[in-house]
Amino acid sequence: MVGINKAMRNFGLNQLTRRRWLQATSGSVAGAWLGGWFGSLASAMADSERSKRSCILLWMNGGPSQTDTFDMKLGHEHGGPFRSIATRAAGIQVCEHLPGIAQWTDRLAIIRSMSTKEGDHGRARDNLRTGYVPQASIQFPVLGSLISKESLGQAGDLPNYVSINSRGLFNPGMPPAGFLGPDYAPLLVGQDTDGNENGQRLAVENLALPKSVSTEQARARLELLHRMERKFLDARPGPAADGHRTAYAKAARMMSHEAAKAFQLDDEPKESRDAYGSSQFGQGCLLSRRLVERGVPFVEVSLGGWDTHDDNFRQVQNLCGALDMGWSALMQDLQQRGLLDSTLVVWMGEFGRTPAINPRLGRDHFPKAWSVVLGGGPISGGQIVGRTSADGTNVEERPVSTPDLLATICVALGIDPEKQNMSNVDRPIRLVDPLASPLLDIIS
Amino acid sequence: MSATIALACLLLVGEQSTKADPADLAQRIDERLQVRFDSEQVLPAERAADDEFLRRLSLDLIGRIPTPKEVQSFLADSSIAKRELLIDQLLGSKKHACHFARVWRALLMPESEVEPQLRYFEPGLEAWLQERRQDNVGFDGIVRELLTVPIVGPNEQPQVVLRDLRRPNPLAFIAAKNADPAKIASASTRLFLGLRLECAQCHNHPFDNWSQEQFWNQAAFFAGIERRGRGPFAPLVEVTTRRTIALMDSDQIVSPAFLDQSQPRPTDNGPARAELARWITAPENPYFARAITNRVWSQLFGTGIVEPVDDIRDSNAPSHPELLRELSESFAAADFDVALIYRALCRTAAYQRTSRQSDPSQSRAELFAKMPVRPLSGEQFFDSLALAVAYESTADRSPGEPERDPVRQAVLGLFAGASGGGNPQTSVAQALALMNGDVTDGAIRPKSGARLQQIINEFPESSERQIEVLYLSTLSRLPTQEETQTLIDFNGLGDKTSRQQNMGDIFWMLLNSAEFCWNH
Repeated sequence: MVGINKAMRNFGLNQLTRRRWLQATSGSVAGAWLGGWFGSLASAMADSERSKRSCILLWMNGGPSQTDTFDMKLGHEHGGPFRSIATRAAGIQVCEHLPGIAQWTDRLAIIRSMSTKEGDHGRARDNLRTGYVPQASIQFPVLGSLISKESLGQAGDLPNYVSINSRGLFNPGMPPAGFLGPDYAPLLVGQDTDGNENGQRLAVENLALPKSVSTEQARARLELLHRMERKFLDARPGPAADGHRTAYAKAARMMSHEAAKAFQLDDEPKESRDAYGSSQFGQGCLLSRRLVERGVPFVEVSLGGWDTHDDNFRQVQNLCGALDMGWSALMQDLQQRGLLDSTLVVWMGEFGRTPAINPRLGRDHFPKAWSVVLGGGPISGGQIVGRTSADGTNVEERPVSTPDLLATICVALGIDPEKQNMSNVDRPIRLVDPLASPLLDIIS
Repeated sequence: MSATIALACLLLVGEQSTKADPADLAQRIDERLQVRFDSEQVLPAERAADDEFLRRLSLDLIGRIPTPKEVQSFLADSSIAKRELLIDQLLGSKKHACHFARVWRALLMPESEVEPQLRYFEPGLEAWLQERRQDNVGFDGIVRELLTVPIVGPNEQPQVVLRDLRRPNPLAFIAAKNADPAKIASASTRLFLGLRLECAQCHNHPFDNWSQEQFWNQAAFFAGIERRGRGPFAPLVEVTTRRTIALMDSDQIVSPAFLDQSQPRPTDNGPARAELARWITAPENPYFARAITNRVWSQLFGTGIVEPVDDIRDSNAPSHPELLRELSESFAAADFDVALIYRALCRTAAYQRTSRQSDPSQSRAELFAKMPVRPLSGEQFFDSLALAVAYESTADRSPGEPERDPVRQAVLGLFAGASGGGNPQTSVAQALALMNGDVTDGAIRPKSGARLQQIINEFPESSERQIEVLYLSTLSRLPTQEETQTLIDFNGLGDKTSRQQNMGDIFWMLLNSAEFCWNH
């Protein structure tokens, strides 16, 4: 409660009077509603919470080319110009443009046999991110929201689900948390309105109070708001009213000093910032580590631009630069801080790309046979799961479906994939389709 | 297509005199809804007061809240038909055409929300839509023009897609879809027929009747369109003789075919898409009228009669099938005059109900027993906020650039994705922006806030009047006695300086309230 005591000392009589007046006239309801605003983070961050697992999802928006990253077809006409390099794990080769991540293959399981059905960006994205085939009537929550719900309270005043650089990732008009409701919606970070990715500061906008506003004034007017809009909201019960109240309570809690500090990348030493690279993605990886360190159970960092219908090779090489630096620095940093064993790192997009190269030197959408990488956490690394044919067009061994993959992620996080949630169509829906068979052999 | 519907439509088309009267149509809508209320024992909510109605109608038809003056004069007006008059007046205004254009621009080109460079197309696409709406062009005409927009020029001199930013430009639709036949086809069937065919793009859809081949039949209508170069601004050519397309990842080649299995009859030299445009907008095509009326309904009522609005199929039944059929037929019979639908829907008792729930039976959205709360689009919110705080943009606007006001851009980003439908979803980012952001902070200081300055100067001695104007500026209503009393007490604390700050805090409270941020 340091914040409040300090605030009380600093503020003049008027604010205090105003606050007392509010308390006297509205009782303690508003105060209770604001709950632990300022100062509850410390208690919520007790060491016992640290045993919980976290997940960092590196989301490759657009669908990355497996043939040019983790499932190369050297010598075949589908192979393209890139060479492969040996990695730390014997027998595993990856693209020459991933030299950093090649040093971590002993902690990675490369799944080369993803086989899914959706070839349209929107539908495939929904499918891979929710685990279900999109249906008009059911609002399936995305994985981050599902995990967020299972890890309730883990992160104190920080949200349970933070999504970094995710502009364009969520469908307009469709709430990401689906039927779980806005409580489990992601906090979006780094959404620059012009969509620029480079050179932008990664920050939660408007998290700090304007300079001239005291904490006491801020608290007083929040209480005023709560009190004055109660009648309006009570007369319009439902998810909108609940969501509105929740969003304001969450926003107020996040403004607490400790919570807000998590987002201040300037606090990192320069060498640590540099290790991740200057790309927005790299800095996002650094932020994801800061959040996981503070107990946030699910963070996703998005890297867009993988929809390489034209000029695939030049684009993939560029993307690999940012990807390799950010991802390998993240692995390194997590390990140094003793967090790698409790943090699952997932690399995936919505589908792969055609092994055949089109006339524009591009590769098109390809859900039939593609790659995903899991690492850290309880994943036993140095493994390849499944195999594609020599031309890359077919899965020849252990096809992995979307539910298989999501169930594997759940199990790796210690969450039962068959747990049920009540949906918006009044029937319970499991976290992951029960037909899934998780890849138990890559989890130790 | 059922023969009876076709026959009915043909009969209606033959006689212009059958164009429905909006008042009659409104009454029939209410009767249809009442049948369900009776059978489901629903007690509908009471009629909204004038201020509630005015605010809602302004947001829905002209895209912003009313000004304090508009509120006061509407409240003071004692004529019986003032609501009907207001509906007509707003529908006839340029502001309505402008709002209509924004709404449909967002539907036709949702990609620009995600791809910033596509925003260069927004002014031209809006200008085109606005002109058509102002000229009262039927919706069939708008869609025909959109789908048949000329792509001319030989290979050496392809069709430029963007010449002058503000020049009316329906080509933006094709350019924003990367001139990709599959994307154009899937957007067209979704928007103009209410059908989601793209699920069949990769495989036959288990729940629908549509086959993969049928999806590519639609794409084949656009097969002749090609982009010369990369990116959305690359010019276009059209090979009108090319009328086939290959199925994704397959050697199978398909030709254009309509969804009712009939075959188009190629005309001389014309592109195949012209035949599709004619088929889509034919008065006897039941899908088209239904898709558009259902969408307008959902824009005004928050929920479509079929929901989701672009997923009309046997296994997703309309809540009121008869009502949807009757409305669609009236729409087709009126030469797809979209104003008729607006006029009729806004006149209904259903639209004019309060959003205040007085009975639990009103909570089922699909019965339309109360007005649901609805989210504001970024544009609606920005325009309303700007009005409330008397914000004047200081951003340069060079004619060659799209709108770049930074505050507006920030608000649009925060509200991206919100449209007329569904529940308002207050995000933490929105809350933070309204709590701590520059716009709010600037507005609530007497030094920088134009609105606050104005009311303090106008009523220096009366905090009661100051509060009144703040309520009119934000919530478009007068405060209740109880609200006034509470806030006068709150405001009266401290000396003169702190009273001004307190008034700023009252303004802050109003701008952050759900009542301001939602359409209700």
